[in-house]
Amino acid sequence: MREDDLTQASDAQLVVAIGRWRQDALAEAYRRHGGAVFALACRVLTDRLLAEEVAQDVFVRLWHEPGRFDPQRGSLRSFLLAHAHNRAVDIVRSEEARRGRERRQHQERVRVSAGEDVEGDVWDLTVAEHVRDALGLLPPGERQAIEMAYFGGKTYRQVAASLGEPEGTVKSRIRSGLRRLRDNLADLVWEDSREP
Amino acid sequence: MNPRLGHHEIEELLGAYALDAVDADEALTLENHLRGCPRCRAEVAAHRETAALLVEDRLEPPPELWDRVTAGMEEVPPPIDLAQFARAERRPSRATPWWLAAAAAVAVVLGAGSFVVQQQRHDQLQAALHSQEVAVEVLAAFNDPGARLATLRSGDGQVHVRAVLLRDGTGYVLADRLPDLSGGRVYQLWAMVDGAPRSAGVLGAEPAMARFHASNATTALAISIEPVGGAEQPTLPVLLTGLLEA
Ligand SMILES: [Zn+2]
Repeated sequence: MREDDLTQASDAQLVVAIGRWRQDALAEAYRRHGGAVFALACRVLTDRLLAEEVAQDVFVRLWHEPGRFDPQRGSLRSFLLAHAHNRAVDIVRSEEARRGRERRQHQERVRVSAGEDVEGDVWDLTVAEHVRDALGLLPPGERQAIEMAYFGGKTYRQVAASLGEPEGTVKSRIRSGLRRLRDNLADLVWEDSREP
Repeated sequence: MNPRLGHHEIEELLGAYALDAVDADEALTLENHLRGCPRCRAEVAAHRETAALLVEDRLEPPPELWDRVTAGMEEVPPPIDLAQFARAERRPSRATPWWLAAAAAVAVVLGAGSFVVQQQRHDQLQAALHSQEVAVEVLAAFNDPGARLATLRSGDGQVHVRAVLLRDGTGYVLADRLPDLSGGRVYQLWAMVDGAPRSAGVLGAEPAMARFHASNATTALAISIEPVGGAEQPTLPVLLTGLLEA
């Protein structure tokens, strides 16, 4: 690898370069992961402008605090997505709290927030085929719990309340579903790598 | 919520915590616990990697977003033109799902926290198994009903390398299909054990069939390109990866 060929750099090398104030390294990180960060924020917030704010925040923070990324503890992609998700969920929940106050004041019915309709056409068309297959192999309860929590920004308690399921059940389904999803993906990778 | 949760209750929350799906007080309890518990940290990291695979990648961020990012930087050189990093060019083809590469990277990275950098020798594998006797041995290994087979495939799907691991930990990799390397680089074989890559030996610059040894707990094999002598950890992205049959 040429030292300056950032398109070939590992995520860890990129982040080291970002730490040296190399803006082209940040640009490469953005090129690799900016779309996913923005997409996740859009899914959780269902608002492009808010999603832009979150994505901006994620990459500005990477620029200023690259040391927060520890390559020993995961990929840069999941690090950035976790940050984006956390920010987006904060926004969703503070919005819910605001609406909750208004509801108490005005006795309005609270609107259902994003994430109820998790199977939009756009998603179906664009989600990576194998990931969709792996999701499809999950028991419906696990799939629903993961999608409502991750894309809907809901706590497991909120998921339980809106499904009328026990909280403990939803909590377990999220965990077992994530494990099963991982196993399913591994199986699909294996099937894919088998010679015909 | 009771801050003195037992370990089982903590574990039950790890999936929801990884998805930010716990209440604020639960999140605090979890964070306290995670600081002192590498096992739970590893599980959260694994859940986050899995969740990250669910995020679709094809939504183009609006062009002004990059401008907003650079506007958020202070006292730095002027923004560079993002157009030179043509995004579309690096899009993986349909034949090679982007997450396959991602999953490989994930597999390599996960558990790396427990990968203590040891001063291990990266033994040159006993390569070029020319003799008839060894060829028979390899054939027998592939036909052993207890053997676990793997096909290691390159990211672009162009190169396949077959490998087999016997119950006693002896393995064979038919690396002769890999192109020769030059410039002081060698192929290195990795065994994924408990999510962490362990060197299974250096295959050399002109790899052939080789015998190796790996733990029974190996879940996947990978081949990377490293400097002569081998590396402590694989250089990412790894060249070929394959899961071992259960
Ligand atoms: Zn623990």
